[in-house]
Amino acid sequence: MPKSMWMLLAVILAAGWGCGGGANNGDGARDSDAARPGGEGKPTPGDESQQPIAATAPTKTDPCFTSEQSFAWELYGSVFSRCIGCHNSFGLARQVGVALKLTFPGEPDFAAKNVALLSSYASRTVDVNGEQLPLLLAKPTAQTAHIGGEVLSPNGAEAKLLASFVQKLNSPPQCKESPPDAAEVALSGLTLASPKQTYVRAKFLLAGEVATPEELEGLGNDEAMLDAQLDKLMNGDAFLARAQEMFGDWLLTDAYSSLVRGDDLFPQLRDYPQRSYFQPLCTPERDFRCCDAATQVCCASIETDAAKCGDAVNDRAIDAVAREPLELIKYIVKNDLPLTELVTANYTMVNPYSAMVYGVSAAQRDATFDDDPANDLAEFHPIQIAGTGQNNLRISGGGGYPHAGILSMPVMLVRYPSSTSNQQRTRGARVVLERFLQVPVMKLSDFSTAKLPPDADLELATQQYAACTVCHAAIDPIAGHFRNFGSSGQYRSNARTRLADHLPEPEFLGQKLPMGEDPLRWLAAQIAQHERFSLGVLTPVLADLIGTDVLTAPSDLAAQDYQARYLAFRMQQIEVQRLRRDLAGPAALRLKPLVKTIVKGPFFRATGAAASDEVVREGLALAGVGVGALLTPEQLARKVEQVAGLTFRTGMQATGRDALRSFRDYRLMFGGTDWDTTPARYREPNAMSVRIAMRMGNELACVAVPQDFAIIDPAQRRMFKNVDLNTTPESGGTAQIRAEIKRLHQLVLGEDVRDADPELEATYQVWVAAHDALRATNATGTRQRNGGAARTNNRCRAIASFDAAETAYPTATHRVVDQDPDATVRPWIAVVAYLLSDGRFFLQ
Amino acid sequence: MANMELTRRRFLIASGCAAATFVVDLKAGRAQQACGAALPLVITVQASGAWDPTFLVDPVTDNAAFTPFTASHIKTVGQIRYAPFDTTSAIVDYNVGATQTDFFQKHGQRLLVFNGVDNATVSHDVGPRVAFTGSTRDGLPTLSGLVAGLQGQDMPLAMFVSGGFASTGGLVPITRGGSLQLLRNLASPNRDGIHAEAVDTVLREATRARDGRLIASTSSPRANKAYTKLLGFRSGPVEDRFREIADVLQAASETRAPGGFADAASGMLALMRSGATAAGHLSTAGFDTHDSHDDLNNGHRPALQRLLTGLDYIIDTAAADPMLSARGVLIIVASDFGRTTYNDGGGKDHWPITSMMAIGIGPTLEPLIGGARVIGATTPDGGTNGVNARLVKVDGGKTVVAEDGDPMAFKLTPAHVNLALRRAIGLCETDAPTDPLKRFRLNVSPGEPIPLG
Repeated sequence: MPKSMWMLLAVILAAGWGCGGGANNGDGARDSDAARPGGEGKPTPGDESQQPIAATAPTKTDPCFTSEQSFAWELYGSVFSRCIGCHNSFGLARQVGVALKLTFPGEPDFAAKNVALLSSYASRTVDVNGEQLPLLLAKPTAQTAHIGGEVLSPNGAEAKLLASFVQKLNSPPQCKESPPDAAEVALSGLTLASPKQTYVRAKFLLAGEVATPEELEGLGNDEAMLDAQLDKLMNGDAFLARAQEMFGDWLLTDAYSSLVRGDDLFPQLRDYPQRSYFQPLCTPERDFRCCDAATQVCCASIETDAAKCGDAVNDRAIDAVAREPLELIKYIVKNDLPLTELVTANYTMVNPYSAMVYGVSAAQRDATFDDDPANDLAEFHPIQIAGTGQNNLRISGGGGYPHAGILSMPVMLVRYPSSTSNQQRTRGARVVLERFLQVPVMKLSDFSTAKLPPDADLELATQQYAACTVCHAAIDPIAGHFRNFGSSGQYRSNARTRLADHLPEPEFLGQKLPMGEDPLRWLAAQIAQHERFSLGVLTPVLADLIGTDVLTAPSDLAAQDYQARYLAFRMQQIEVQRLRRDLAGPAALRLKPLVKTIVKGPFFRATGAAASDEVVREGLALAGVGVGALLTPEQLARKVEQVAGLTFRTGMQATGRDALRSFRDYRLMFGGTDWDTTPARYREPNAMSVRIAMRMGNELACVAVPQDFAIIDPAQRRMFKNVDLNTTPESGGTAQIRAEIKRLHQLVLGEDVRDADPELEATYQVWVAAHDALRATNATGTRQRNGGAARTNNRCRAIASFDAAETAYPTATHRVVDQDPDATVRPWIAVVAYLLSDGRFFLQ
Repeated sequence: MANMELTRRRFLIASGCAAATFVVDLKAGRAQQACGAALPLVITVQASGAWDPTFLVDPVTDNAAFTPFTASHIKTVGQIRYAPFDTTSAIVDYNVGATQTDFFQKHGQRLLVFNGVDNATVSHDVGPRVAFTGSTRDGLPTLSGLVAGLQGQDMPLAMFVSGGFASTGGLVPITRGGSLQLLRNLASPNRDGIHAEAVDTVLREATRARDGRLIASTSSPRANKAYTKLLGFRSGPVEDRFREIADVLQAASETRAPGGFADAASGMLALMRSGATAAGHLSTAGFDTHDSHDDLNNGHRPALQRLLTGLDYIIDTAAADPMLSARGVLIIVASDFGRTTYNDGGGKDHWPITSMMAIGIGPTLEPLIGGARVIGATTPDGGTNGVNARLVKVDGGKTVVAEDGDPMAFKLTPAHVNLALRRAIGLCETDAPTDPLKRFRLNVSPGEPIPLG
């Protein structure tokens, strides 16, 4: 942030807040201000590309910032996020015994610890061409020997900024007061939603349910109500499904669900020959993905009921295995267990389908599951897998399978495979470091094989050259704990020979694997105890609920949006630290208290901001403060069902595909993920998502409005409880129409609008304009495309139920709606389309 | 592009005379478009997972550590040597299209192959980024993303993406693609006459007015930004453009692309034809064959077959379309990196040396890009795990393989390829301080783009 802006903020604060004070100086209080896991996107000298030099790139620290403030607010992004790639306790510095190991962002007292460490080096100098340069400057600029080479250009703005910082370390500022934190100021100026408004938003985002106007009428508007309602929401099954979604996007294991590439899962489960059990019997015509009765136990050769076997049932078995990690999430949350159970659970979750695939003995299955086949799909129980005659698990010494929560689950080991060259590194890096410890290990350094000698063996180089060891020193010792699992997860106890000789023995941050311990279970215990574990597991939850990624610090000082991005990162870190403290403390690592803390916090509840400065406003937007992200397609589908009472289907037909959940239709186009080739969700509104909302609004209104009017008893309708087909202004129905519009604003948009609100009038005018236009058409007898003058569009009618049965109307409860003599159905279609295509409907 | 305010009208005018705007650079020995000329449509195609060029355009023969091929299996078209699909009982080529024609015989004259490209990484995270942007760094656009960003400011769906790595450097939003049928509905939300025309007009105006009130009434920066986007996407020039797009999409062929790209390719081409889309990125997977590399049902070669089949559809469709052809379509095919010799499991592991392909379609681009030519080379000998890249140099306006010890020699990288392709299509940095190309420079040695000769 330019100095002028700091000064402006300081003036504002001096006027409105009181200046400086201890709260802005203490390192402990500031530990939240500059947390960042790793150094993403670090430009290095000699890289092929470069950013333009911004004329305003700061080259000096603010004279009144404390060292901790300068480190956190000015230096970390552009300077120290590059250093920490090597200088951290996980990787290269640990391996080669360098004492300068910076503390990663996100950890308590981040700024204070790092400043204390750097201060101990600040007075050291080295001779560079006869000039005494600070060691802290000479090293990263490669003006003296440095394993990492030139990290900062000696004449660049970053080096000048660093020089200024080193000077500050040696001569701390003498200002009476230090400026306030711009990130804190911005967050403290937010307007927050009322408890009732917060509940409306939370109910949908936590349970996928829309609060009805009738429900809200009976609620108070205080924090106690909000607390009680949040507790209630999180005790329901719908919340468990949402928790699964949050972690599903994090783990990406649904890539192997039957929806995506489930067919590729079972062929890789080499320990489980009964993986083919549910498949159809092999025939000369079908000799692939089938069960060979000559060599295998097959459902189809045992069961007399053909419906219990075959492709559809096999899909259930695939999903049981593929969603095993998410079933563990569900179990943990339902039972209010600590999230450490994710890695330490000495059991796994199976239903009757996966139990059969895993070769669980008949006795164990009988003891675990009930006799009701109707609930098999959802009947998950925790069990311990053992070697049986029906599986190929090679477990020595009479022990069981070494369950380590999701770490040992077959689908995780398939989703994050190993190979003869990979040597378990994907599992160590992607699962342990990146996810559970929130260390972006693959971004610690801009690795390039071009930095290696031409004749280097790539595999041996991983242990020999700094260009490689910067990451491999962190990854390989952790990866080694997976050594008993093969490329796609096949388990062999005591399989040390699976790791190549040149690889290090398994260890975790210098702690050697004790003799006799199961490697993976021991690793899991270390992960669960590490202080970064809480950061790791809160990340997917926060990202889901605020609808944007948890940011890493920008490092490109010269980029035009650097100031806003750095501010956004720091704002997020304030929230992340608040959550981490709570999660690791009073919440005892349980999900429900974490969610409650997020929902009641400023990011979730913000409805407005006092800030007028453009950089600050952009920072707030980038940080994900308040509403503005696209709903996920799954969320939008649920919202549609809640509001309209039916599913948005292709072709406006009851038998059409579920348009928002089908990968053939809008699921990916609306920013969704398949957890595979498109692993990241896209949450920013774009032209495509807006067009989808517009089309969806039209199609859905066309179907849903007649269907709702077809319900004879108004009390049973979702949308039209106050009006009927003959309610018009001409018949004296204006008040009823307005009342219904008011109710629809609450139901569809969550807006509690008052009677004279301009929004009610605007919507009413849509209704009236459509009504008048159609009455004119009716009067002249002009035929509309696809429909007569007094008729609805051929598709916009209700002549049968909009479900698979397509039960013809009329019935005892439903009537036919295919005429519109009073020109009311089509105006309501217009109004509902208007509301469904509104930003407040499809944004989170 | 010096002028970022390239409207559709200007674009149509420009594209109409595009064929006349390239020049022959005698020094470089090959034609290239003049700086600032109308840019072609650009499609980047990702062979996701790291392809094995020794099984395609950089075949290794008579060396069982690399491939099962002998010299007699290898065919040529122009300078391009290419491997067959199968040699088990007879030589089976990569046959594509309705007539099952050898891909390279059919399209070879449109191809320019780069062999011995050093992606300098064996990370799946970094590989696609370096291949398509020319840099290991985050934040740079792919060549397709750059073209979309430079001329897509008034294109509602400027950058069409269907899987894989894509980046526009933040210049324009990325749009995820879908089928033609879906796109038709989206271009014309009231398709099928759901509302009477008069009602539809009322509705659209009311929606825009509502967006405006939401913008005015919120002090939340994030909400304000989002609502402002919504209003922009359904009003003014963008809304007008969608009306034009709807007409073009309505007339588009229903043909579904075969191979690895399916619906996405046909939808993307229709959008390009309509003027809604400037560039696209497509991805097809199945190349990360750490085991069973040679499996003819589920190994590397079926993935290559799917890739070539999809490319065949795009090339044929674009070449047959007068508008697309006149505008010019540049396709860049690349992958994360290359693969090693066989491992113990019959698979192949990661190796930084790889190949890239450029395909030029249309009278403007074919002379620039095509000609069945090859730049760069590799040797299977001496490599520790995979092929070794031979160094190249610029000599007599051409990029040629250098002799050992030549002081002018350098290793070919994706940065060289991307820079050369940028220059070939007329992307040149201007003096304008806001020129996005300044932000996305590719600094390599030699500093000048290598000749594509």
